[in-house]
Amino acid sequence: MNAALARPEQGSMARMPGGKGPIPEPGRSRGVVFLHEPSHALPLVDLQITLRVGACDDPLGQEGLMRLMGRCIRLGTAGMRAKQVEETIAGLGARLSFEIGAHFLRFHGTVIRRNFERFVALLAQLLREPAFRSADLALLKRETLADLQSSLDHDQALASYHFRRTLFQDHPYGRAVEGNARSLKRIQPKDLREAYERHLCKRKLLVAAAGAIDEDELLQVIERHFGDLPLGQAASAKVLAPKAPRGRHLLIVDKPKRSQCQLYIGSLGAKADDPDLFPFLVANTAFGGTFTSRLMQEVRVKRGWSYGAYSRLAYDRQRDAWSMWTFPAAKDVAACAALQLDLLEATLDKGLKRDEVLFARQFLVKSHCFDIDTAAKRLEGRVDVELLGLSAEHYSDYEAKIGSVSAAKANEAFRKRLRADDMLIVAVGTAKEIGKAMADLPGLTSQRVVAYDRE
Amino acid sequence: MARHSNAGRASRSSSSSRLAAPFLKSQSLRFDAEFSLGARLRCRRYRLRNGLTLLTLPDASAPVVSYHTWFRVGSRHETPGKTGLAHLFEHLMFNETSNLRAGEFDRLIEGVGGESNAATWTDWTQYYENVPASELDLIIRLEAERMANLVLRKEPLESEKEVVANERRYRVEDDVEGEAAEALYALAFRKHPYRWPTIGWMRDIRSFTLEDCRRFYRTYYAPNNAIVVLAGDFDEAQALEAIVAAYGKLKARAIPELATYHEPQQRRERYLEMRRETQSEKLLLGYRAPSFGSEDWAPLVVLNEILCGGRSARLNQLLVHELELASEVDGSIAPFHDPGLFELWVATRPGKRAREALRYVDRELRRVQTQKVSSAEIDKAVNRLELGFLQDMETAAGKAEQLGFYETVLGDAARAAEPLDDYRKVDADTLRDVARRYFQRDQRSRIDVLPKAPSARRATPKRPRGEKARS
Repeated sequence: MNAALARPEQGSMARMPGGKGPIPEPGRSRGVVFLHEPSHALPLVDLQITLRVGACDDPLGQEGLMRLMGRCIRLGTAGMRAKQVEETIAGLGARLSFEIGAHFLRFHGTVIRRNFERFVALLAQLLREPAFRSADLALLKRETLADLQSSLDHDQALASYHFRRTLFQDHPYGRAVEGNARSLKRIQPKDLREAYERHLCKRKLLVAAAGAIDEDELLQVIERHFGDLPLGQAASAKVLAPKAPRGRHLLIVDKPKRSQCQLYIGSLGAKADDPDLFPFLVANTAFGGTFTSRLMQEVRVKRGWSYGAYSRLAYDRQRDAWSMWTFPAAKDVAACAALQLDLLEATLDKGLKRDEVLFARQFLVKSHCFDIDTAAKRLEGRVDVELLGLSAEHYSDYEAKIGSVSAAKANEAFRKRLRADDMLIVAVGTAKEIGKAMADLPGLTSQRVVAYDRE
Repeated sequence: MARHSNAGRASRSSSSSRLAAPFLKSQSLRFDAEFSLGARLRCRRYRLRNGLTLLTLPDASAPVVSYHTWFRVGSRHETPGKTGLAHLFEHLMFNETSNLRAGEFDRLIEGVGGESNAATWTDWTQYYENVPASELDLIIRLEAERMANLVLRKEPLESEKEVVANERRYRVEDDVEGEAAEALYALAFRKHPYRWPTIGWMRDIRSFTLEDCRRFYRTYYAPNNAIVVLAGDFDEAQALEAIVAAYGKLKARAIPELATYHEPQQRRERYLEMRRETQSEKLLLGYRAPSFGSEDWAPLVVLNEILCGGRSARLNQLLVHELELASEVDGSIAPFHDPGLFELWVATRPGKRAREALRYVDRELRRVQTQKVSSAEIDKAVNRLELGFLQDMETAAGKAEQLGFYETVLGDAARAAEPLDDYRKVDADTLRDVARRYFQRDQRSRIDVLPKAPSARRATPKRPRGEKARS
């Protein structure tokens, strides 16, 4: 809906994938791992074709390669140009998107049931017979460069990019999945072809379907379209643990004429297989994960300083980011940043109260029904578990694991990873208006200003 | 908000619902209509004696309930100098009531794992809660409580004004697209309240008093100006009983009649150039469009899909993929009670010109005015609309929103099930006809957003003349 949402969605709180009760282990057909979530409530099928390879597998100096490979697949086969591909997808009443993460790339389609067979045949043809034309690659590069430049218009995206880039430095999690002007220039059609031949194999493939499709039908799809793929190698790039920053560092991304600031404050968060991930999740929810949490109450409800105020815990195979996100007026940004740092420090020093932790725990357990109320959402959770290499219990025992988190464990998980003195502060705003006040933030180890349109 | 497509036929029934029988006897509740939504679901409409409209859609496919309350009041009910009041008031509805301390509303909902939010636009204000199925009674009590017993105080009002000012900075002042969209409506409308933004002008947001808010509440927040929608896993008889108990005693009020506005005839294209801190030129066009639900609505929705719906759509193919002029093309028709705008948005690639994009847009619009669209292309558009409709129907919240929207804007929730039938009736002649009638240059408002250059003349007034009715 294009109307005003009075309050931001709660999507900024990363949630663990989880189910209710035992779930079937992933199936295997002709060596291909598959997941299936049937539902005949609507004549819709949701299909995900995922490869366990992502932006972290980009060779150094060729950042953006895996994304270009995936996007080039959509541009057609030797006998079918991009325009015809798009005409066919739309004509079938289908949508197809391509997504890339640090460790995966995924084609995600949704189609009206009556056209499922034709849609899956098209998708398989694209995946099995990509043309990788030079002209297509050149077009994608031009498009990517234009998109990168256009993204400078979006302050939140800009702040998020600089936060990750500065937090992770040279670690692969700090790379832009799109690459950059230099790296794109180095990518040739043969590189796409080589990457494709190396990675499109049974050991890296995950086929997942939800909705109005029976398992037999899914098995036939796998048999018909992917049964003869090479087995290949399971291993993808080894990613080392990132290093948490020491000290309190301020980066101002200077953009003229800003009436407010996009403000990110944070550090490293958690790894998906951390034994105390669930306590950390509960602690984060109590601190800044809901509308009644500490951060929202202090920043928005009491002071009106920002329309949104959330903390987010991301996790991956290695430690991902933990961050607070607010967007105060330029006149309030320094006070807001100081307040957030004080809140964090007080939380770490004195701990979250028992009733706060119990409330967060209860919220997570009881709201879990909305994570699994459609077949597509249930599938999404199972795919995440599979890609992160977690056990099925991680999914099926979600409620029990959250429900058993004590206040002591939640506080311990928070303290183990976060220190108010070791925080990265990134603000997109107009430096001449906010720079002086921000420079007065207590305990800064370093401060830097960069122009928003210079890398 | 463009509502299009459908899966199911609406079949009205004049017979009373068996489930409502005890309440019908007590005369506190009147059964009004019943219709299908898709192949499996039945929606019933009831009216309480105090005028509250109630829609129920039992659906046990997931153990959740979505509860929506729609009020027939939005930014069109405001006056100059008081713009943004409906939206600010929506924020205030989450505060204290006679029987709930400040913050308790949110705490009670989150305490049961629920989520609550709201939205305001030109013609309506919508509140919703999504909760586990077992918690329906709590939501009924909370919503009835704040419909009648909201307590308004100065301190939270001042804080909320600051929150809304920050929301405006976020959505409009630091967002090129939001600012251009706001400017378009101020350019296109001279009399109608659609000319001001739902979020309101900044100076108006800052000036609201407690008395403004109290008067607004007393005027528009009454059961006879509201529609309650329940969708999800609930026992209908029990829900009706709880709703009658919670809302039955609320008093109806005299709601001001909906004002009508005679927008002066537009005689030539209106144009505004904005210079902003942006990487690329943008083009925003607004053609006069019919009101939501008019007979031209469905053909225009199909036409929009043909022009802008997805990568294969004509303007997308041409501007983004073939000519590489644009990075983004979008189209939408304002789903308003009164005639709004058919909007076309083109974000050019850095270094490309909005004027050049306009030349090609004009060419494509002439093409749909002069040449018939093939049946295959119409089928493609309708298939995409059908997919969109089915996706809207996936969750209880999606279904409740569709029902509430149609009931509020058209006075008939059953039409939420019908749009696909309307789209399927659209043929090439109709498309050509609506293209000729609506895509007229002298009925167009146009905004070019240009990147600031140091030597560029500042062509824009301090506050843009145009403003868009959306926040």
